[in-house]
Amino acid sequence: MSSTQTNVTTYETRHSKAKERMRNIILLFATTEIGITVIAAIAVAIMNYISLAQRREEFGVLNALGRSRLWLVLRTARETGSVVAIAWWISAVIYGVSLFCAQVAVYAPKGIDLDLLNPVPWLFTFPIPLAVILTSAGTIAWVLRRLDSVAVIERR
Amino acid sequence: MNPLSVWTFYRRHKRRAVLLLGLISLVTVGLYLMVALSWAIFVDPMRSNLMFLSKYSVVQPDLGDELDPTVVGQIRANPDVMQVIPANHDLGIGLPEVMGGEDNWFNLLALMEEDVPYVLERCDATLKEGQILWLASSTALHSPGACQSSASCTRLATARNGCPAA
Repeated sequence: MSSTQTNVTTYETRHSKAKERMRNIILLFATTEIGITVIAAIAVAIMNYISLAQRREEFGVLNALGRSRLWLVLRTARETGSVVAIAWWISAVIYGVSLFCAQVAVYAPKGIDLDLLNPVPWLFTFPIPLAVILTSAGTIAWVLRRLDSVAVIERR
Repeated sequence: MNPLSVWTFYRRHKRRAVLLLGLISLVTVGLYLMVALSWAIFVDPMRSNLMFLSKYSVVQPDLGDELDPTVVGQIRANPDVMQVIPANHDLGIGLPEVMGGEDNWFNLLALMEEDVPYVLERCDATLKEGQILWLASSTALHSPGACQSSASCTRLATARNGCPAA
């Protein structure tokens, strides 16, 4: 129905407004997350570069023994991936405990429910681990591109 | 012992592994908590506040308190509208905000006593003892006489197909 004197509120009209507000909130979180992810990726890349510089001999020997560069990159990605997976599970336990404590101590007394199964916060936990794995693989690929395994063996 | 296994790598580079593990855990926990805690404060109340509209549509006067009787007649005559219920939708309850600032405002619905059973049935809710009605995910306070006259009442229109009607 249409009238200039009445205001009709339906689920669709209110839901579309709510969706717009939700989109803005998600965008705000995503912008923050991108900034943090970039900083974390740079920190990990620097850490990896220092670590790989110390492991140059190890990679040089493995390369001289016939391991391909792709194999070395995948191995490093697997090493970082397993650290990241363990870190993510540790984090998941900490989320659970923290959320339970926040629910009991702060939110429940104020009549608000915290939903541990809400997928949105979980989705925000993936970019950093993925960025760390990709940065590690990228750094090792870049270092190995310039690695001369014969020179490494000769130095030994 | 496999010299190329991941576990051998950890044993050889404990410090690096622990540093990386701690860094990723901290950042991930921080991000998760930031999103989860803010979501519960800003988004969930907003969502639960509009859920009642999945059962009803609200028709309110744009100016003043009273709906034009002609409009009410039009709503009643609309074949898509199953039931027209006078209600007061201006009531609400403010829950204190977790992080301070303004209260979280939850809308309440004041109904005529005879309409309460129908609304409860439509919302799959049951009436507890006393004057408090517990709905599925929200609470409505029921006070006889809260909406005795239609002057300050909003109309709730229920569609025949179960969807909100307009």
